[in-house]
Amino acid sequence: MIWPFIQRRLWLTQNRLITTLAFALALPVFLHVVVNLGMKNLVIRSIQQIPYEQWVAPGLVFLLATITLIPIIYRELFDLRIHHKALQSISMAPLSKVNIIVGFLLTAMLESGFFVLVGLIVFSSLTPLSIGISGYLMIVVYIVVLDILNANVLVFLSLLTERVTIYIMLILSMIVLLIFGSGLVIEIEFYPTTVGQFFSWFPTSQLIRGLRMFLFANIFDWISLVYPLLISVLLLFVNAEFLKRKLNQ
Amino acid sequence: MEASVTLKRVGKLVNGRTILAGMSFGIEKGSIVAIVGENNAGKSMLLKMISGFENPEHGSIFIHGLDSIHRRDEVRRLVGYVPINIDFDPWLTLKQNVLFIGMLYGIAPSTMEKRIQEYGEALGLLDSLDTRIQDLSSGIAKRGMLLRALVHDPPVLVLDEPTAFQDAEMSRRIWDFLERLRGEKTILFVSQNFHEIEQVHDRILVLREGKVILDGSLDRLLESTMDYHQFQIEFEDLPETTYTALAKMNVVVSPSRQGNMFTFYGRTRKVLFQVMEAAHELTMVDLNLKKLGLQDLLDSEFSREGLR
Repeated sequence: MIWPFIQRRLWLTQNRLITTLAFALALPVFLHVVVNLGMKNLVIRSIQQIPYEQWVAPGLVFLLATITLIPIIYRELFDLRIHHKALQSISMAPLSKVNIIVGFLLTAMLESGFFVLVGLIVFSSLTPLSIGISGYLMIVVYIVVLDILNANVLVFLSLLTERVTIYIMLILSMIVLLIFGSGLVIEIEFYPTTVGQFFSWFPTSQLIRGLRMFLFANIFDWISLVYPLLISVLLLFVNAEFLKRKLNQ
Repeated sequence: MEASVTLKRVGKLVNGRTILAGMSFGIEKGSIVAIVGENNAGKSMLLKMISGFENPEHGSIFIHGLDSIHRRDEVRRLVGYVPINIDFDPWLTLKQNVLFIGMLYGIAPSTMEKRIQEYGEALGLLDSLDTRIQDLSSGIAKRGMLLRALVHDPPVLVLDEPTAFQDAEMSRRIWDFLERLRGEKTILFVSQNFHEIEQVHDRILVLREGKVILDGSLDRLLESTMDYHQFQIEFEDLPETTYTALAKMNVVVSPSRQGNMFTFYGRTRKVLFQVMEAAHELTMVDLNLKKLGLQDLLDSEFSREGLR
């Protein structure tokens, strides 16, 4: 029962194709300019002596994946829900709430995945990365887990709030936390020890740490994948129950 | 007749306020049932619960004998619901919206295409199928919602204001279409257009404060509750003494005058002849007789005073 959701997402993309393509190309360039070009003069090398533009590349891909997920989940489960559109009729179909959430998650991940692939090509052309095929494959694996996690968090926030002002504040807080508190563009080690330790337990911090360990030290840390995945699965069922209660069905 | 929809002591609370209370009734398969009532009577909530969009707090709802909560997925295949407001995805075309819902019900593409063509033609939608919802008028979108509700061919249709946003021609077309489904599908609808309800119904449920207060066909309801006719006789001249005498006749109900026009209600048409006989010395210039309709029935019910 996932195919109808994929078909719907394809129709939605097709109906705004030019905007989507323009956005897919512009966003990675924008991130490269605002983060990489400025920060690489401020932080020349990471603590492990990796050039900053190499070190930050996975963080920028993570950021790109998250930013592209937000409008999709926002529209499906916040905007259309509070305006009693689409979700209402979808919830009338003979599908479980888990199925509906998974449908939205997978289609959002597919669209976000398209943005990430374009982003990877753009980043690679702007900053040649010294990672092999296995590195690129591992980026895809980690991005999939990150998308599952972030999409579930976004679904949770979308179902939690009824006012757009609160929603925007929550999303902005999440982005700030992701950028600064997960080590995407600044190393967690720069923070005071207690704060750094606290941040290091964020599932997103675990993911970026795991990916960087593989890319720059060739060490595979399975805990960095399993821990966020477990939280995602837990959140998935919480979201399904939450959706059920929100719709009073 | 076999029951299509059955409610057993159904109750619904919203924010601590009782919207529906202990509602029990059954609806026969293939019948057309209108639900009427004042604002906040619980009409739309009743439709939402029958369609499975909202769960009842108390009681049970059965669709074709299946419990709507315990056999949810099966029940959902049996019901097509048209809510009052347009709830399509505005960025998709009408056809994409309908196809998506059909796919969720697992309907084969060729079957959906056939139904979209058949029902789309009947509802005057063929020219609008490939237009995005945000570019369509509310009237067309509302008819599109009827098309969407039919794409999985449910035996029960639950329609909240099916002719909302429609012009007279399109309203007629929708009712002609629904009339053709009589016997084949059970149709429950809410409408504020009493003229339409009078034309198309097998049964009317009148709701007040979350309870069914009247239930039956219009003729039966009028018979059991009022069976009144309204009469208006215009005289060339109506002296006060004659008016008082006529108003005091025990067969005359709720008399009033406007100039030389004498208006009153009576249980049978015979009352008119009794009044005419009593006023035989006066010259009559006009006469108007009206059998009371749904609006009059509801007016008298909801004023809680009836005809005096």
